[in-house]
Amino acid sequence: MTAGLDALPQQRQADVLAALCALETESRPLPAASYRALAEPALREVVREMLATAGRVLVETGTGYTSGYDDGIADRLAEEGIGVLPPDDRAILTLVLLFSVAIPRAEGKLAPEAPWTLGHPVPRQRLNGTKVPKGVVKAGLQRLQDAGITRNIGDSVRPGPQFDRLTPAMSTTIFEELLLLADPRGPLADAIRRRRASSTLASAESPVPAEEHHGH
Amino acid sequence: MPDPLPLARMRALRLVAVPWAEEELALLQETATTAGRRLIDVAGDHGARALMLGWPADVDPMAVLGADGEDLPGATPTTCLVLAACIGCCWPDPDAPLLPGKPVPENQVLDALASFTRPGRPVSESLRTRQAHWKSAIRRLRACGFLVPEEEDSLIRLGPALAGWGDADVRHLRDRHADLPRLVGEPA
Repeated sequence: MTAGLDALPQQRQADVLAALCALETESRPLPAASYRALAEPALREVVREMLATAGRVLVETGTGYTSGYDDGIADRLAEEGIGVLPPDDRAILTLVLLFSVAIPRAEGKLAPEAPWTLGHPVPRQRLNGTKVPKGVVKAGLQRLQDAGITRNIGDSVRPGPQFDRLTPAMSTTIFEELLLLADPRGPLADAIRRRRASSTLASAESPVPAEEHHGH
Repeated sequence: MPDPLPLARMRALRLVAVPWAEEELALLQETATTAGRRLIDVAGDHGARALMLGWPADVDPMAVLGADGEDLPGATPTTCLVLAACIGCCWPDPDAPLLPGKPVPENQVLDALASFTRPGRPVSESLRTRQAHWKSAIRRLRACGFLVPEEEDSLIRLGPALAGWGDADVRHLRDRHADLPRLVGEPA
């Protein structure tokens, strides 16, 4: 166990383990009020510490807390090909995100701070009208639904509970990718490319690891 | 802090091979304990052994969620019934360990369900419709790890998620083994 957990009385240790298990098991965010270890900052810090040992982070959502992969760990897993969606599923998910979130946000019909999971339901018919063959759409949607990446609402589909587990940085990256895809020559796309280029340059020039740099 | 990547990998892949080196296995066990988890040794039906992340014996996921299973997305009555039938068919001998169990053809599970559920359903809910629901549940159970992902032979195999069940859960199953859906004539 971590030093933080060991230092706690037995009952508080049980509170921490219960919150940890719920965070990692429940598909929906947990209300902080339901778990002592999420409500109390000191215990929450121990939860955070234990999640970090497994490459996970505490993610705060509008409705409570959940857990997700640490960004650096997610990148390392992806480099190993772990958790990477096959191209068909990626194409279908991109369509869902465009119709459910990106376009409604651009049209002002969805608040920028709205969680992915409250995206507008996309009728399956709408996805069948794209260049992706119907059979591929059907099979891909099934896999995405089974993995909790999308969620069926009647005959429509929207981003699923796995999107609650994204860190703010990962969430921003996905939305930026959608902007780059939807309007590659637009001013927003230019700004994203410029910012990414300058941050890549800055990290290449800095000999000090980012975390240490922040500490100074 | 030990490298968190191996545990993250275990969560993402559900099962990883048991490390050959004893020191590596010891480090993995220590990291899991530090993270509030435990390693579960899972037996595959080909004799292979693998590891998955579980919870310590005194941490019950159902209890910490304050749910009896009905609130959990995906754990619909149909899914629970189909899982019961898969266990009934793949675990013929209650004195044997639950895993790895015996692989069985999908039809055996579907037939067990057909004979278990009440006859005289309305015409609108034909056997074909029910079978479609049962097959969807099998697909969900495969996706959640309660059944092994479909292999070339299409057989139903009990999955690693069952290895996370506590001794008390398995004891309950053993006590009610005769009530699990299975085909008449199959050992109970």
